[in-house]
Amino acid sequence: MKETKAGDAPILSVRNLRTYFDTEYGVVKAVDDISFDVRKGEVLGLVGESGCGKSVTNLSLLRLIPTPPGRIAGGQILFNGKNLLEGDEEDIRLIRGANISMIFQDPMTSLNPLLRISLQIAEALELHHGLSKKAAVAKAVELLKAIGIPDAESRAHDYPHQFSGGMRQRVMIAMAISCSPDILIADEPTTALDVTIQAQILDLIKNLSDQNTMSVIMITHDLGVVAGMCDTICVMYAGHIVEKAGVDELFSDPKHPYTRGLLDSVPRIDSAWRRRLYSIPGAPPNLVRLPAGCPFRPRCERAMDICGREFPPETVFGEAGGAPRAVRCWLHVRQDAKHE
Amino acid sequence: MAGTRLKKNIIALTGLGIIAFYVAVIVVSLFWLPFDPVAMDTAHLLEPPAVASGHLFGTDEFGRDILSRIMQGCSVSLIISISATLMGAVIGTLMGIWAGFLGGKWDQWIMRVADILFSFPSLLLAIFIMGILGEKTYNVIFAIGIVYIPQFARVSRGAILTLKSNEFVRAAFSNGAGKSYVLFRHLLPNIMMPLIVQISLSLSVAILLESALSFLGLGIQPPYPSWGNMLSSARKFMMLAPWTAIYPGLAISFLVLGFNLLGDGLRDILDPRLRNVK
Amino acid sequence: MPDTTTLLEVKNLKVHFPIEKGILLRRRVGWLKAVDDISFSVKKGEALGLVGESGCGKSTTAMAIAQLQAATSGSILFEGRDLRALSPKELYEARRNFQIVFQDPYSSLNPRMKAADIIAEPMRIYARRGALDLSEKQILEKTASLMEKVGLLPSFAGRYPHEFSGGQRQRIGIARALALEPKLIIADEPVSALDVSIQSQILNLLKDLQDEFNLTFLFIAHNLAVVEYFCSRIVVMYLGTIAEIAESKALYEKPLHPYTKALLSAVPIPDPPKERLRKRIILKGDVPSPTKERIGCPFRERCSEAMERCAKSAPPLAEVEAGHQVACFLYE
Repeated sequence: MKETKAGDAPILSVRNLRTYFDTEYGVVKAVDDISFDVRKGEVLGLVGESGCGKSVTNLSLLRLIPTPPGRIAGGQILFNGKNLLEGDEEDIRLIRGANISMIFQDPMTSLNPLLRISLQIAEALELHHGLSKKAAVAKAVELLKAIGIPDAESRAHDYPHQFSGGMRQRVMIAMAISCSPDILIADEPTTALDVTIQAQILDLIKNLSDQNTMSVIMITHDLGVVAGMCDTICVMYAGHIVEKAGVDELFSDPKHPYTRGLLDSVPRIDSAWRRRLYSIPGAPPNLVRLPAGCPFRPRCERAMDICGREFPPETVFGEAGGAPRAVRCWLHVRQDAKHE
Repeated sequence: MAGTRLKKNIIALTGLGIIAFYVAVIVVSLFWLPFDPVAMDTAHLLEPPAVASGHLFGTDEFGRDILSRIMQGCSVSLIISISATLMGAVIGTLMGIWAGFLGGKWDQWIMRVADILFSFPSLLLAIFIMGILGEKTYNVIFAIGIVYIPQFARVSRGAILTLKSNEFVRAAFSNGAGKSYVLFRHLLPNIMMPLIVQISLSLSVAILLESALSFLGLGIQPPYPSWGNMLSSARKFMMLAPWTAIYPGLAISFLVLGFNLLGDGLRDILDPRLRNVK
Repeated sequence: MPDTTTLLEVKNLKVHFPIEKGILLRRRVGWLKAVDDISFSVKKGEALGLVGESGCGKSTTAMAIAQLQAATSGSILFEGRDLRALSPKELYEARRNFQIVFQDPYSSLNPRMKAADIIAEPMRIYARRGALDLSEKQILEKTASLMEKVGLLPSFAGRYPHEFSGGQRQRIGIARALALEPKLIIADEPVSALDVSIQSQILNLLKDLQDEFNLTFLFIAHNLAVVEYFCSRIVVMYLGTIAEIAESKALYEKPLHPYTKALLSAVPIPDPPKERLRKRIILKGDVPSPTKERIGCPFRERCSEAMERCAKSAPPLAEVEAGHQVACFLYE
């Protein structure tokens, strides 16, 4: 568990972010009023299934949403106090790759097949740190060594197709950390990899985060990955954050029915044969035709009348051990508690 | 976003409208023509278009009414182009789907034949075939049809190759289906859309090919009108009587435009629809 | 209670793909040994899992068993008859006894066919050739009953695949696989492409169907937790060979092969305190290419316990305890 004091100001603060898409079927509210903080050195997990808005959140942070049909419809993204949503393309470009970096799920399509690896890594260094090509390439080779590519000197001049999937992901990570960013956003970085390679990559990310006090926002649907990597977790559903908790709290005391349902429906290798898995009934919602009230209501076994009428407010519990604790559910709304 | 779909629809609809207009002209021409297209009228040679004389598009060097000739030529052009394109489509598609489906040696040899045909410029190939078969009108259909075989073979083969890897193909085999069944019941219906687009676009070029052939004296022989041979004889009189060339030319151009618009519109409508559908 | 009759027996199965070079005259320069001499059996009524990472050959094995991929050598005995030795007509007859559930809900259904037609198709194919004695009316009734069994509303019969969600499409695929009342279902990664909350729905559906129809499953997956949940016995594959075969619980509690141990230690467990205490066995390097010529144990280059003899010959699969086989010289 990271030693972050509760009083530390977060380095990234997302407030009431809304990202909508205008499609021919209507407005898709991919991200609808979410707020969360990331502190220095913290590993934050954004967990959810397809369509929950986790990837769109990511892309919004770096303003990489294709506009049209997408648009950031409201909110603030405060990085070290400065709102990233104000300012023009030039401003955000200085941040991308330098202060906030991103790695994606599919290493095969994220690398330019026609450029040597060394040049691709060097690119960011030349852009942000003004290094000469020679110096940048030399630094690139060092980075490759540091992240565990064998024979880094010769392999640096290979092309992406000459690397395996796991190696390519390492190259992506090398590119992302080349400018020593404050925050690394990892969008399902290991979903396309074999599980033994996944272990290597997650290990690498964790070490980098510890050594460089780099914050990580990890997007994934794999609860096992989250349990091993993250300090704090935000569970997303239909564009909202339905629960926030420190990792131990989330797994031992899930408050939102969706979180609980997910935890009960995932098979574990240490107990798979013991009981029948729970299934959350129904299917993930169609974001164009969301029902009134809580978006999880159609699948919730504890739904009440009010759940179908009004959207639940967020209930914030006290911050124990520095991690936030909140849930957006009518079951937990109390007269005396704080709501937002 | 509904706006873009409508816009693309307008393209296809405009194309369809133009084609429908020509079809209407054909239907009308079966029952009525302003004048007899082959009747010569030595008293009214090369007359400019005039409402008073009844010759809305003027007359040619033999006094024949150009409008009537264009109307009759319309049936000829469309029938030949459509038959030829369909012939090429059927043969080419059959070749292409078997080549794509079977792969290996079959693929190589079938596509080699298609490539040989493809390596000739279309017009030269058509002329060559006409030379072998003779100058009869129906041979124009064969000539243009053969020219189109490689195009359809390629399009259908490519479509089959991408479809082949879908798991529903394996599912059909595991359900006891044979090769022909899978090819015709599962794969072919799924490539209809790109084929229809290809047919529409090919039709426009077929019309041009047919016109070119009859321009060169192959195909429809005078005195029967075809847009191509009308243009051919108009060459001598273009300076004196430009209408003898303008109207047949416009007739060809608009029909080609119609097919092109339809093909483009169809292609645009079909692609994003398939992508958004998930 | 599964009876102990063996439904499927795979003996020395090899699937080798030639690697050819050259444009005009193709020369064979090597072999891609996707499946390299494996043997195992599936008992009637059980669910056997085939597990491994990419390149291990599990999917190729499944396709070879299903006779959708030609095997290079070996025998595939279904109810005692070698499927590879059957005539086309006999194979066609035999196919109805083993059906497949595919991985990708988006490409496993013909987008231009209605749901009911997709499910009815196998029956129609066999009825047309006189191998199935059902009238069209009976086929439609059976289709409706299958849809109900897999949890699809009858009103969905006339809909097209694109109108269904991933989970529902998978249900259609399952109904199709059941149409001919097969004895064996080969499930090729049936839940890998589905959302997490839908996976358990489909897994439970398959379990219920297994009980109701007394089905035998050959379940291929890369997710070890899913395989442990669904299957009673598991085959662990590596680079085209079998590393270990054991019952699910025994595999987890007492893995023998070094690869199995590494695999198990790499699978994340959704339990933070447990995760923090785990010692991961991090394997060196990547999975070697299946095209390289190999002598000795395929795992030796990455194995932390490799001995000299591991480089000289490949260890045979041997039974170490009742129902627990492993291919490793550490246990001789």
